[in-house]
Amino acid sequence: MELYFNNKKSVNKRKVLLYDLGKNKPLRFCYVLLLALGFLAVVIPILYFLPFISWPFLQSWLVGMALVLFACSLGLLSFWIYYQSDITGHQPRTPLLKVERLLRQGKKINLADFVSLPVFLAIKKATKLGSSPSKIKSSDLIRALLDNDRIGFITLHMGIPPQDFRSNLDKFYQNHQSDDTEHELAEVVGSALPVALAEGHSMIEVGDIFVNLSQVDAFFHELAFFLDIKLADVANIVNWETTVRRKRENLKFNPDRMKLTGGIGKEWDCGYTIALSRFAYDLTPAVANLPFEYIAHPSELTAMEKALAKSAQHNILLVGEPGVGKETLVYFLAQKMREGRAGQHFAHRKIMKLDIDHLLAGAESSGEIIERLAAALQDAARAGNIILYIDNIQALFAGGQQGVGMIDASQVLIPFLESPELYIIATTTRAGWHQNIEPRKVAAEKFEKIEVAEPESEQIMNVLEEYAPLMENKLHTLLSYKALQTIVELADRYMYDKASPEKAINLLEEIVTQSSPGVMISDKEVMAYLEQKLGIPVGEAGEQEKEKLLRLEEVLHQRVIGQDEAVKAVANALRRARAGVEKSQKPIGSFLFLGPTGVGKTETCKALAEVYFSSEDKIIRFDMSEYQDTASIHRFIGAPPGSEGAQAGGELTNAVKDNPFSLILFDELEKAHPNILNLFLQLLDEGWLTDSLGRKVRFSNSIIIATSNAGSEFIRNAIKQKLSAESLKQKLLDYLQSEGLFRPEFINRFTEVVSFHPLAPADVEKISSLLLNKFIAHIREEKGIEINVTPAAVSKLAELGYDPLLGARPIQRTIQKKVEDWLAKKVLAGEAERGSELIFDVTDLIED
Amino acid sequence: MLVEYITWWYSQGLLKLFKYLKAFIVILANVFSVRMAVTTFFAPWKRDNTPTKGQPLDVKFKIWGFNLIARGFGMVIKFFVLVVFLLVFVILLALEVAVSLLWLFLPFLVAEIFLLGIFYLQS
Repeated sequence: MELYFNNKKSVNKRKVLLYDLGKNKPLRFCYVLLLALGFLAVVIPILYFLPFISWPFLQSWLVGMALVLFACSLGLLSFWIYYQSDITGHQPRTPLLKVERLLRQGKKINLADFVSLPVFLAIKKATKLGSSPSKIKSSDLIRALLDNDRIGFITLHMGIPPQDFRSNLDKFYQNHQSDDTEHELAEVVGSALPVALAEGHSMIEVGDIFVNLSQVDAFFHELAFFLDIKLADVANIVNWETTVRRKRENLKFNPDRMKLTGGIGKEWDCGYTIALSRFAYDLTPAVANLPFEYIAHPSELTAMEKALAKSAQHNILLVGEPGVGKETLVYFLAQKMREGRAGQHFAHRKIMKLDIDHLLAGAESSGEIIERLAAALQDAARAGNIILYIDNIQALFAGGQQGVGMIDASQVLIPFLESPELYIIATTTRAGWHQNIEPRKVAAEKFEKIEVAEPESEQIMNVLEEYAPLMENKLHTLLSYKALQTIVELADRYMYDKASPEKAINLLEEIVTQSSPGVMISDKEVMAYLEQKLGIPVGEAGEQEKEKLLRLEEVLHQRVIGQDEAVKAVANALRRARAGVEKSQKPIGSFLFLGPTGVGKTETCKALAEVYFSSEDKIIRFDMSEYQDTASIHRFIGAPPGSEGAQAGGELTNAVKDNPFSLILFDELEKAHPNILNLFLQLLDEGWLTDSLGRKVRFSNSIIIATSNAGSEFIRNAIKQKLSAESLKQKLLDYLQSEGLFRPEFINRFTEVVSFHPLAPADVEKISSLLLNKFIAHIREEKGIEINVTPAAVSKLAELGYDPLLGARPIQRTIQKKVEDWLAKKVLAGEAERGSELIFDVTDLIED
Repeated sequence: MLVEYITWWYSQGLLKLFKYLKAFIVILANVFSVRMAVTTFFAPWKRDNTPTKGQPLDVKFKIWGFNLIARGFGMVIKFFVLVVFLLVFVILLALEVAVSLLWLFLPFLVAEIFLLGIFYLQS
């Protein structure tokens, strides 16, 4: 490539002088003053008529001065026009896009002609800072660029103010002088060329150079590591800055991009809409000042325009979850129509939104509602310039349901859906489509269904990039790029009530409004806010939590006696989840607990829920013996659309939708119908299930535990044979498969299959102690009586309470029977009062 | 610098000026909905047109009368608006011609006023 950088031969050389002068504030002030004085000078000749100025010399002097000043003002005005158009709005004579072609043709390109004037100035300044004319130190160029406002925007949104950036840069190169190497100027600028082309810039801008420097400069690498941002994100921030600037420029009048709105007579050729105006309102005023230009669903918008351009049956049904941006799509279309950018077919039509609440309000019968709707539709069809927008149209398809406002307007709608004069855009949810619209085939077929899916993270980021500057200006805060990324990531992971981008926007608004003005919001503030809001650990673990996680086995063993393998398995899974090592949409952990009854499977679940979700109440429990028949799958994930109870949804999907941060316990899993077990394949693998209404329910913030007594006898025998833990696990899995209890693909999907061993006598004694301590603490608190249980009595209670078939389960009952009964007698006999101290010994058991 | 400024004034600057002047005419036509007024000049006002199909002859006559009134009303309004547009257009055009001339002669005008001022100062 024949790229070189020669500023002396550049066309920019002369312009840069003016540009530099134009940026000089005192000079600008003098300029404006002179301009104003010149125009004020036209009043000087008035003095000519004043009686005391009668000397001819003074009169001609005044006129002469006025003329000279006026001429200067006119000259300065024309010069100002030139400065604004050709200096600040400078464009290269050859478009940047052509440069690549010229290079292929073997032509020599002077890059100095293709850089913006601020870049030209920065290079000039950097060479003054010490670098040689043809070579440049990246550190010098960064220092020179930092004076630019646009770089200020970029560093601030990277999470570091420009002045801190500069001081850190200076400190870094004081200690790493050998890293401060020189680069060929042409190479530094030339490498920014692809960046500028990718950004759609007409010349190489300061941001493009900054992106390129971020790739080669040692300090940048250090800074990116420290701020935890990817170098690729610098390019994204530059793109963000470009978008913000472009949007600002688009607000200015541009003869090439005029917004023609139709004028005073745009509705003269359209019919009256008296009935329609009672129940619908025009969206046009709302979109007049729509501050957004980015659309997350461009292909859906094109599909809408194409569908509306059809000669008949131009009705659209946007189907998507609440929050995906269905209404925004309609707003964008309204904006395009208003400005005459949506093609001749839609020129100056208007979108009127039917207010269903208004339509239903005050109506005494469903007949009256239908009558109102028909009149409104008739008006819309007659007017000829209306596109009727009906949000949540399923409300008009609720026929057959009982209740206020439940109407089936499909029969009224059908003739209008066929009318070539009426255009309808309707929206509905996936559930609304399946339940209310799809079963009414005739009406459903009249719509062109457009699915509006949740946008990808990159597109959601672009949406937030549009919102963030608005929020920043309104509430005087600053949002780092990393904060926006974290909002997108965490909203996706932890918020299920709505879809993105709305939930991300809501989270952004919540965070900005609750933070103090002048604060920079980073990813840490976002995590802290969400942690507080949801009551679950979100961000990096704090010191206390880290310590707790590291000794998690110890914490769990405070409640779970023995079962080292099980405790270790769940502790490891939890550590992986909190350390962020495992990043997937799968559940936090999924475990299959196998073993005889009463050995601590449920207690482990409770302990885990308390540690991770801070409460035992966060367990959603399903007794799988209740789901043994084929139909029970409908109870689990909901009945098919149209069938009875379909609206109620499924027990599992509803429970998880309402409480996504839960431990879900499936007891006695082996008793469930095989079809239900098949559901687990997807749940454990992908981390989500689709309920019968088509709603996606995610389990990525849940811990899944399934328990089973299958293989209990096998475990018991294996323990007797003293098999090692690893060997026991392998043989147990082989046994379960050979017996046909669980299929291999089912078992393999769990994070861990954990076998719970039958309890040893020592374990039973510990459990007895644990339960007794709980009981003693309870009595101390409630009655003020202190009970001491002797070790011999504990051993005896353990012996009495242990049942080889039921495990430790009867111990609780034994304590109740023996100790509580003993205490009750003492209380009634007056031997136990508040402040008494009693001893429970083996003899008390024998007496009983 | 001066040569570049003069070159720009009579090349890109002039083109840009004409672009703006043309835009103002387009905006004016849009404000007065000229295209719509011309294309629908004979159309009934607010689509107020009742069909006569299947009606008895006397009712048909009545409806035709009303439809004619609707068309006539539309024509009057549109005619009035087009006349006002033409008046404003003439004024705008005159202003644009003046601005164009001022643009063309501004560098000379500046020099001339300046020299005249000097002349007064010296007399």
